[in-house]
Amino acid sequence: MNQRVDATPSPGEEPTPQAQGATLDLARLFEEHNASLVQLLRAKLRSDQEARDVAQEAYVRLLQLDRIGTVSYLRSYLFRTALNIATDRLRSTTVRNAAHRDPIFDPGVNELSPDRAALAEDELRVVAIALESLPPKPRYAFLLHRFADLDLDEVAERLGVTERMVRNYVLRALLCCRAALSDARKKTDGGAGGT
Amino acid sequence: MSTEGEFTSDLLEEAADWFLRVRTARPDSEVHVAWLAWIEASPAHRAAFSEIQETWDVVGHVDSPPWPRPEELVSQTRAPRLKWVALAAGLIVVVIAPLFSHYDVVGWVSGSGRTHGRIATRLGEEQSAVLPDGSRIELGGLTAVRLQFTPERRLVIADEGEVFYKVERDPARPFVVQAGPVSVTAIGTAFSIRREGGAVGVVVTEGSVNVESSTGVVQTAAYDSVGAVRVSAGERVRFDHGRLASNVESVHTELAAVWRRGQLRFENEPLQVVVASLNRYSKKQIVLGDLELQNLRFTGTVFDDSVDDWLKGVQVVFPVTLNESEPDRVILQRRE
Repeated sequence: MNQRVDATPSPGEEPTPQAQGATLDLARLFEEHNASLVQLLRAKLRSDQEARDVAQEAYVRLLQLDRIGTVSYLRSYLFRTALNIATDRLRSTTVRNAAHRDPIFDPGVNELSPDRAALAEDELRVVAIALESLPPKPRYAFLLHRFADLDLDEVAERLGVTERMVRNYVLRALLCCRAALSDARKKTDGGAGGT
Repeated sequence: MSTEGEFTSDLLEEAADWFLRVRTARPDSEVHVAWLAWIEASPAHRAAFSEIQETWDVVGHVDSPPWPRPEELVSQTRAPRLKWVALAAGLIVVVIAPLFSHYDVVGWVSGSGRTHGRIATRLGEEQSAVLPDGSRIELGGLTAVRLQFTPERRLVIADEGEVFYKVERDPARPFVVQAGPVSVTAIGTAFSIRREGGAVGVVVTEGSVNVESSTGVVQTAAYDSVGAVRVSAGERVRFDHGRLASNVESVHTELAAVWRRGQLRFENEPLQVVVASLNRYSKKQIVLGDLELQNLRFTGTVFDDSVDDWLKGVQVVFPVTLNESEPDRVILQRRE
């Protein structure tokens, strides 16, 4: 980026050095942490697309700031802005879906790539079996959090256990599903040779 | 080749833990900063986190999730589990109880910058307290500290257990913790100290501290330091077998903070230390039946209200079996 500016010096159009420096800082910051930011947003939101949209929106908001501070300040500002946008979006979709939420037909959810789609049916069966193998309470806690969009504290209240316990349940359930998936894929890869 | 199965279960558990934490954290929470440091620390972290995300996504596609029937939720809970849950609920009540109602302060004499007192917790209990200078301390189970504050320095004598310190900045009046053979000096910072007899571990979460060891077994005011080491945020130093480790290790940034939320997190800790820690929460005391087991290294998270689960797990991870022939203790024995 610097090189291009040097190669075509056109003083009339060049932004002020400070503003240019700040924009470069911001661009570099975004480049450096964008993958992490999207990954973080993805954990909260329903699709990759939505996560990327929010990251971009946050970036644009930062570009509009009059004064841009230090890089470390910028980074936390970028993340906080993005998370605020994500929270707002989440709130509105939750309200929209509250009446009858069926994640299967939620268009935002379908992020499977074509080759994955072929495997998906087997995998879903594997995951369903893994879920069934869980004791009732952990299973209930996990399903409430995953499918009913209840926060961990709400699940805790519903089950009459501590939030910490619920966190533990959900964690175990998630790891159990992951282990089942991993086993299933190992078998599939063994047959197909894998890539 | 597929990358499945290349992750250790510890790493996956850590990733899943982070996943839930960032999912549920508020936008202005510090969790995200800590998470960013973690995810960018290693490609393996990022990959493990993606695995968990992917699992979460796949699960979301399950057509008719197996909701438990109402009667399953009532009848299948085992009695011992109920007891543990009750204990957990008790812990919460204790934690939110008014600060000064629960710990015993012996001879808390304040005046002209001088304070003497003692704070202690019982088995399975956690406590937090605000000290006269505004510093905050949080005590794990079965832990005791004594305060000796003078206008010149703020001295805390850590008798046993685990304590997290959030020190109010005051350069004119250093904050000193004496934990047996080790003395830690801070000005304004946050750190935790885990002391199990002669073994002491210091983990710093904010700022930095000076850790010194003293030669003598008996503590005197003018101890003769044989070594001092500076420990910064995200680092840990250990004292064991009569000497201070010369190398400072870097640890999970939130390591020190996690146990305060009812989890005991261990990173490459000797089994001896892990067991001593768990015994601060478990009614059944865990005993190592074999000296050789002491130095097995354990990494993982234990919830203080599910020590039973840990005991089950430990038999899978290590070559040990449980001997439960005695009513109030569990002996870990080497598996033949």
